[in-house]
Parts: sequence; structure tokens; C-alpha cells
Amino acid sequence: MTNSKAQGSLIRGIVTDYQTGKVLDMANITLQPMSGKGIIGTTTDSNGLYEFTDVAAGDYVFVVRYVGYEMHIDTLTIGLRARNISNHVQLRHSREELEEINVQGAVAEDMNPGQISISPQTFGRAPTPGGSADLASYIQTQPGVVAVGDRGGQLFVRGGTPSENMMLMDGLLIYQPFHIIGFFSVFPEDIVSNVDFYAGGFGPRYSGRTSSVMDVRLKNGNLYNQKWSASVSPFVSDFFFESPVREGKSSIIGSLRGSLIEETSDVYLSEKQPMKFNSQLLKYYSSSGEGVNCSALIMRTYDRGSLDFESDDYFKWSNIVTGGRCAGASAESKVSFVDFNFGLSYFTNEQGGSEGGLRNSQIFKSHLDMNLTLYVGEIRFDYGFFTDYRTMSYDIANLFVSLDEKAVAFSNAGGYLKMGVNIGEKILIEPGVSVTSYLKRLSPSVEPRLQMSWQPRGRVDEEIHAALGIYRQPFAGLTDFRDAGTSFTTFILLPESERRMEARHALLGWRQPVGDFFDFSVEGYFKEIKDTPVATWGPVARFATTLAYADGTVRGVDLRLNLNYRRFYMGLGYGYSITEYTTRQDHFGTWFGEPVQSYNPPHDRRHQLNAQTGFNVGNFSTNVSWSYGSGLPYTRPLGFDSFFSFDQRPPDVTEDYGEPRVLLDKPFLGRMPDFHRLDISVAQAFNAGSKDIKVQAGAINTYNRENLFYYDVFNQKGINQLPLTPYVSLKIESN
Amino acid sequence: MRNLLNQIYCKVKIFLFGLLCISGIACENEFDPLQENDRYVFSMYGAFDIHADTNWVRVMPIAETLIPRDPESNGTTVTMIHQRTGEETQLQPKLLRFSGNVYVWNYWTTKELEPQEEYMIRAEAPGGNQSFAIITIPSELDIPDVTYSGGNEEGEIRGTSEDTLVTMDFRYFIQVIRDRVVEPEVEVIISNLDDINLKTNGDYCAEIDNAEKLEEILLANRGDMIVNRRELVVISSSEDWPDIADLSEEEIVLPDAVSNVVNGTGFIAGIAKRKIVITSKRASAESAPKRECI
Repeated sequence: MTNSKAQGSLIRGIVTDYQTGKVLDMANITLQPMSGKGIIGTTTDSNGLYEFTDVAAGDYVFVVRYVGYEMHIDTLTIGLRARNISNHVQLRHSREELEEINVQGAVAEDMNPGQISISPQTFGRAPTPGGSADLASYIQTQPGVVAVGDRGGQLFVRGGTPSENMMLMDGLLIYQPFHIIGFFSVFPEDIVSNVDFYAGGFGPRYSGRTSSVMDVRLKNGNLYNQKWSASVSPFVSDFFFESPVREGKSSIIGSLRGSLIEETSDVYLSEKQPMKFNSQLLKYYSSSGEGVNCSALIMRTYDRGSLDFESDDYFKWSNIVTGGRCAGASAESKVSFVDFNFGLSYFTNEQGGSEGGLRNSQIFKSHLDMNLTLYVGEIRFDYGFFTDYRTMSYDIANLFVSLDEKAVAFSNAGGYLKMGVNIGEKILIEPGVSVTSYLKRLSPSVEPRLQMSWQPRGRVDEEIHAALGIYRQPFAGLTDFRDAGTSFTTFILLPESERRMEARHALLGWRQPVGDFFDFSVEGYFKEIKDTPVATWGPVARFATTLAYADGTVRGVDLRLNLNYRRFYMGLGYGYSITEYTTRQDHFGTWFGEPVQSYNPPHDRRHQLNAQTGFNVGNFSTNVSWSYGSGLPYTRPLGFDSFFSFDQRPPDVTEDYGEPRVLLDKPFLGRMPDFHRLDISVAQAFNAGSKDIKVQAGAINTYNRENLFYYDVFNQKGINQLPLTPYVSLKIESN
Repeated sequence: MRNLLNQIYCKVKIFLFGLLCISGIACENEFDPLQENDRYVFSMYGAFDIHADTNWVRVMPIAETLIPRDPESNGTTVTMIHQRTGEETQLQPKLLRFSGNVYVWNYWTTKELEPQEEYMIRAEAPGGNQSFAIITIPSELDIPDVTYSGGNEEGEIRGTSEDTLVTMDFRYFIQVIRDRVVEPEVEVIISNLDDINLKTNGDYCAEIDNAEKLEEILLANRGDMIVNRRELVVISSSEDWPDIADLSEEEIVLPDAVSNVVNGTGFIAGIAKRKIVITSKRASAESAPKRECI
């Protein structure tokens, strides 16, 4: 990132896309003296920032290169008197290289341990039954990411539960970005610029979650041209537009999506799919042209539906997210880069039906944070400050009977620091710490973290890396996983104030290209988890339960193989994972003779394999994706009876039925059948004057496998995922 | 043409599956949602009362569904065996139907029971699998003396029992007057078991004061209640009666925590039960001199 040759001036700037203002990371920048030798170079970081320090006086040729963009060449004259120079660069797309990039994904990323960088161009590798590819379909093909089925919107990452995942959208928190139909999220390819997905070992900038982080950067609207697109399929329709507000200075994007499957499934599928969702997004972006850009957005989502189509139970949830962000760099400042965020996030969800009454839960968060980057010599400091205010309330009809407090509010404030220390040119060590104070509500949390990488030949795509860290979460999202067919989450502060969900991550990985077209990565991980709330075990089919806690471990390995050869790609991802919980419950001594029991929770998917392939020839493209997952644990009963209590009186068997009871050795001893599914899509694009038309045809579950979504132990009923589902989609966009 | 396409589709499908099976990861696996059950044959619940004309026991095979909905006979034979004499009595089946088409089988007998004798209650499936429980019938229980004041729901119960008292319930059949409307009759059961004072010679005495308890349960003043009927139920049992005082709510429901059924689940007790209707005559004993209940 920095390079020094002599006492002199500082040159600092941000490299962005000319059309949209999107920051370009890993752009190559060189500074070559016009007289004499000694070319110096650097690359931009994830904020598009570059910096040359102590540049000697003289005339230089300043060159910026980025794959897919025209090369930027300029001359710079540095005077004898040292000064700070701002030099922001806007790169224009290169038409010649564009097609090639779309296929190959192109730029080598300088990634952190545990990180996967996903560009929206790759979303389509997982066929989505809509006009636009979607992050939800793609992320489920990643090793280490477990979705229990094709509905419900719940993702488990490396043994963590859904509420332990942090989902960020331009720095704003969104609690549930995945729609009730598992192929869709609030992130279609049209609105996404880039996704950084951290499956573990993430740095101190992200605090308050114990499992994973998905940091999505949304697109900025085009600063010069109006564009729009509209698409329709049997599952979803969407409309997207982008437009400059002040040419070259500010822009706006809007996205509207709505599901259609509830309406179309009646005539189109053998079974009605009673699921509905919609989302709306508006984002404003403004660029000063002087290295400072600001944006503001508002998003609303709505989901409603039933996971077991034969029951009356329904789930409903909604997100409202709004906030703004300003970021920039100035050579006049000692600080290299400043990023300022403000946001409000609200999430409400509800479960209702014929049994158990209505349950609902809400969570609201407002936050303010500032992130800064500073170089002191060769050491990079990333640090920041944050403050949050949260409210949580719920009415869960005694689902967890020990929870008395129905509403709670709390604030926290803290900061983080991460140092980037280069040892030589090949080793980078990044120690850091996050400190959070909960203003007397909870004890403060100090979370040290360490990331290390070694690039043996100095190439960013060839790396051995490791990470260690402690992660804590002040609140828990309770889901009654006794019933896999649920999406209802209650957000609470754990009733016992001395308890705090905690995870300790350790991971070790290797990324390696082989030749020009093939690369692989392998990452092993180990997590210790503490105080995860679980439902108390019992044999009676009671609606209400009490809260217990589990500690545990998660260990596994993720392997990825990628082949990108011209217009053809092939990818293989394999994840092996063992999640084991240990829980102590008072009645275990009577039940098992031992007060502590170990088990694999219902999201413990042992093997996961995803294979994807496809090609793109001219305007024709095809994508094939096959997914396999070994069976998930479920409670396998010995049988059933009805139970009578002899509490103070004998039963009257002539009048009473008794209380239904499931007889079992131990919960979660059974394994559901393996899951596998083949999804295929083919697409042909046409040009029709000022419009581009793309027709896509495909099929979900092409060989019509009966994949079990969940098994209802108490009613002895299996609920299957989607059968063979062919679809055709149409997308029209302005060019 | 359609047949040809179907054949091609099947062949492609078989080929794809063949490839997957060769890779060893995607072969179809049988899914049996239930674990093999070689532990429990029958669920058996009931209480055999030395004073009853007819005794009932619920006997159901361990089911494969949570709610039994099959009204067909399961062929179970239930037999009561007097352990001392070896005399066998076969119980008669009766199908009981609850709402929602829920069916269970009860078995009954009018055979007279002998006090302090052991009986085996045995259930046998058509294939020969059995579950059984051995119970001890307690001694006969004397009808207790009751003095009771209906106005303030106070009273005193005195009696003698050779065995442990396991139940002392007052059952009230009450209509509440709320907002000048007389509500439908409800049954309220109050246990006064904890109010019993027991002497070493088997005498017992209990002071009853149930007005406040009724007010708490019905959320109404005693003055707004019409008590249509009062019953007292006193039950004694042999030492077999399950001791659940130290068990938590989670423990009580565990199938092996409270059970005397071998090769099955449930509990069958031997009891001596007395039910006394508190009549106006008994209730009129308000003016009777009050003795210390110690």
C-alpha cells in the first residue's frame, strides 16, 4: 500500500469507476521518474485508497491499471518543497476487455483469512428462478454455509446459528436479508457492487456477532446515463432503475421486487406455494470529485408465508433499514481515510396459526460509527469508534416460559484497533482488539483478534493465512429448533446477566493458483462456542419450553477448486464440518444418569458438496449447479404414548386422554436423508434496438429428487422441498 | 413419441444416479423416521380401587403416531392375575373416542379385589409380546368424619387409614355471578393433602379453609359464588404409590422416571378410594364443638 524512496512529498488518492463512483480495490499504481530509474508501485485497498509517502522531487509518470478499465496515464511534478498531494483517479471501462472479465472474474483479491469476495457477476453460477441472479442462491453453494431447505431464509455458517450472522448493507445492519423463498434475498445482482463474506476469523472492525459477517456494498447509480431493467418469472418480478441526479456528481438507484409464486403455483406447480415477499430500495449517491463521497439509502422488506403448507402456521417478517455513509481521503489530513456511518435498522417477525397463539418479536438498532485509516511509517492502523442503541421487545405466548422481561433497551459504545505490520515483503501480521462497554447493563467485553498471512512469492492470490480471535454477542436470537420448520426468532438479552454468547475462532488456510486458469483454496477451522441458548429437552409435545444453554465445538474444513478457462468455468466446493453441543440440564441425571449430554444440533451438516459449471458464448450462456448435503440431525422417536401424572391423585382413564408423549433415547440422534439437487439454466440475450432482452429457461431440482425439508416428529409428517420446477424468465434492460 | 421421451428421460436419470452412486455419496438411503423399539411394548395407566364396582386400566400399544386415530381392535389381551392364588381374570375391552377422532382402548373388570394382596396386570400383544405391572391393593379405607361449613368453606376431616393417604380433594361445582350474570357451572378441585395431620396410629385429621383458594382460582368473591355441589375424595394407597415429590416437572414426564410397568411405560396403582358428597346434613354441622386437629 505505501512505498517510500526518499524524503519528500505524500501523494494520496482514491481510485473510482468514472461512471458510478464505485471504488476499485487492488488497482495497480506506478510512479516512474522521467529521468532516472526507480519505479515505485502500490495497489489500492478495499476503499480504493492508495498512498505514496516521501516521494522525492521530480517529474513522474503516474499510471493506474485495472483489469477491464482503460489505463490512466498522467504526469506529476513534485516540487522541492515537501507537500501533500491529493490525486484522485476515475477510470473508464474498456469495452474490449469487458466480456472477458465477466467470465473470468478477473482481479486477484487481497483477502483476509476466512474471507470470500463475491462479485455479482458470479451470482448467476447458481441458477435462480428469476430474471436476475441472486446472492441468496449463490451463498448457499459455498462450503460452510448450511441452509436447512429451500424456504425459511435461515443460514447457518460454520456451525453458528442465523442470529449470529452479521449482515451489512453499505455499513447498515439488516437483520433478515433472505426471503422466505430460499432462492431470493434483498440482494439481486442488479444492485450489488461487491460482497465480502467472512465465514470466521474476521477482524475487530466487526463486533457484536460470533459467527460470520456478510458485508455487502451496493451499487451506486450511474452518474452520467439513465438505465433501467425489468424482469418477470413465475417466482418473482423486479424493476430496477438508475439515473444521474446531477450529472457526474450524484445519482440515484431504485429497486422494486415482488414474488409471484403464490399466484402462479396454483396453476403451474402440483402444490400451492403459500409464500410471498417484496422489497423496495432507494439509494442516493453523491461524489465531491475531491475524494469524498456520500450515500444514503432506505430499504423495506416484507415476507409472509407458511413452511408447512398443510398447517395453519404462518410466519411474517419485515425489515426497515435507513441511513447514510460518507467516506473520503484528503492529502491535507494526517489520517489517510475516514468512513462515517449512521443507520437505523428495525426488524419485526411474527408467527401465528391454529396452535399456540400469536408470537411476535421486534428489534431496533440505531448506530453511529467512524472508521479511520492511518499510516505511521510502514505500519497501517485501522481504528474506529462506535455507539449503538437497541430496543428489543417480544410477546412469545410463553414459548420460553422462563423469559419474564418483555422489553429491554440498552446502549453500548466502544472502539477497535487493528495494526497491519509487514515483516519483510511477504509476511503481514495484523493484531487487533475490539472493546465494547454496555454502560452497566452488561460487563464490558474485550475481544482480542489476530490475523496473519504469508505470501511466499509476494503474489496476493498465493497465500497461507491464519486467524485467531474471541467474539462475543450481547444478545441472542432464540429459535425453537425443536421444530425445524420455523423461521420465528425472538431477540433477547440472556436472562442470566453473567452469561454471554461467545465463540473463539481459529483457522488456517491456503490459497494457491495453479497455472493461469486453475486455483484452489483450503481452510481448516476450529471454534469453541459458549452459552448458546437452546430449548430444554423433554419428551412431551408441549408448546412451551424453558431455556437451557449449550457450549460446544465446531471443527471442519472448506475446500474450493476453480477453473476459469476463457468462456468456460468449473467450480467445486466441499465442506466438512462437525458441530457438537454439550448441555447440562437438571433432569438429565434422572433421564440419562449423567447430568451433561453431548449431541449434534439440527444444523450439523457433516458433508457438503457443490459443483458448478457453465460457459458463455456470445449471447448464449448456461449454468449448471449440483448441490449435495448429508442428512441433518433430527429427533428419532421409539414411539409415542399418552402420559398421566400421579401428582396428588390417580388418573381417570375413563374421562381423560392424557398428555401426548414422544418416547426417545435422546433428541437429535437420527439423521434425515441426504439432500441433493441439480439446477440448470440456459440464457439467450438479444439486442432489440435500445433494449437488451434476455430470455432464460431453467429447472430447479431437475431430476425431481424428493428432498425432505423437515420432519415433524410429533405428527410423523415429512415436508418436502420443491419438486422439479421448470421456469422461464424474461428480462428487458436499457442499453 | 411421448413414451420414447419418457424412456430417454429415465435412462438419463438412471445414468446420472449411477454416476452419483459410483462416487459413493448420493445413493438413495432408506428413511425410517422411527428408531427400532425393543424397549416398550405397551403403555399402561390406571388405578385399581378396592372399593370400586368396576376397575379400569388404559392399555395401548406403543404407537407409531403421536395421536392414535385407529378404531380397529389391536388384539391386546389384558389379564389380572391374583399373585397368591394364581387366579386369572381377563379384562374386557372398551373403545373410547375423544374429539378429533382420537381412539384409545380401556379395559375393565368387576372382579372384587382383596386387601393387601398382590395382583399382576398383564397386557399381551397377538405376537406374544407382553408388558406387566404388579400392584398391591391397600387395606379398606374407612369413611372419614366430616364437619363442614358451606358459608365460609371451612371444615374438619377426621379418619383412620392403615395406608398412606395420597389424595384429599375437595371438588366444588360452582356458578359465578359476574356483572349480574350467572355463569355456567365449573368444576374446581382443591387438594387439601398438605393440610393433613397424621398420627402414628393411622388417625388423621385435616382442617379445611378453602374460601380464599376458591376466590384465587375463580377470581371472584365468595359471596358471588353459587356452590351447587361439594364432594370430598380421600384415597389411600399401598407403598407402591409413586413418590414424585422430589421430581421436577421435566423429570415427571420421563417414561422411566415414574413407572412400574415392565417392558412398557406407565403406572398402575392399587388404591382405596372414598368419595363423600357433602350434603346439607353434613354441612349443617357448623355448630358442632370444634376439636383441636393435631
